[in-house]
Amino acid sequence: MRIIYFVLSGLIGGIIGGMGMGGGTLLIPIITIFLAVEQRNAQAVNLLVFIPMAIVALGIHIKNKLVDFKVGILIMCSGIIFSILGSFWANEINNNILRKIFAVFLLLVGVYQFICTIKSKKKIKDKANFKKYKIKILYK
Amino acid sequence: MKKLNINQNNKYGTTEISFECIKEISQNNKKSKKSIALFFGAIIGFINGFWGGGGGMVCVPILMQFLHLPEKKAHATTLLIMLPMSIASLVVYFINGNLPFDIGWQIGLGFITGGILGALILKKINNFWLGIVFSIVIIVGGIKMLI
Repeated sequence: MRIIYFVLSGLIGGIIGGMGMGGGTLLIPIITIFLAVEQRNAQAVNLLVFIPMAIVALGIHIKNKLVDFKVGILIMCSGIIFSILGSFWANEINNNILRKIFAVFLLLVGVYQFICTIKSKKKIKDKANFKKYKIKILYK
Repeated sequence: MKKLNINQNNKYGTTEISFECIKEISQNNKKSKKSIALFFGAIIGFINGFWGGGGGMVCVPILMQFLHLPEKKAHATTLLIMLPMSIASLVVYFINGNLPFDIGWQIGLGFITGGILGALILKKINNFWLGIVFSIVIIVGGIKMLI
């Protein structure tokens, strides 16, 4: 029975991830809150499931020439070093503290995403209004 | 080049550099563009290693804001950045014995299926309400994990 829950939680995270919205950010709280997976293990699982998805998606994006290698490789250089340092620290720190810090991170990301979504809606509305305005002028 | 608003003589005696200023530097100077990329790479890398995820959610806005990539390109480049970083951190988690393969394959099965589904229904769904629901779920999850 537990297998079904795990597959289901992966499915939810995957759908959001496939839309490019941060499936991992959703997957980790789901499996730690509802399925009592330890924070550290949840993080490792999230990294694991991200990799095959990323390879497939990256292949498609490279084919469509959407990847900026110049910027990407530069960021990657320092990114790899610091991600190794960060994961060493995450493996040493107390699980409960890690969970609490992750919770704060989630709150920040959530609020940021909320503001961004509302702002983007406003932009689309402004564009629509601008079009209407243009048409009005044309008819005049 | 516009004059940068670096204020060195405020009452705290510290240097203030506004976000606008960083944006301008990255636009105008190739060498500092490099160092800005390296700096943000360190932040994204640390986040991705320490929290095992969420690097992408930070990386996309950074690429758009500070390195001036359009949204689609930012998403694609994020994947290129995240992939080797995730592999590197995964190795560290694995060495420390914190990678549970038994639940890993189950979640992975769901995640890959979901990923394909998500990419397919992406165009048919209302982005605004998806964003609102997603952010509220994350905020509630964060509060639940804090308590």
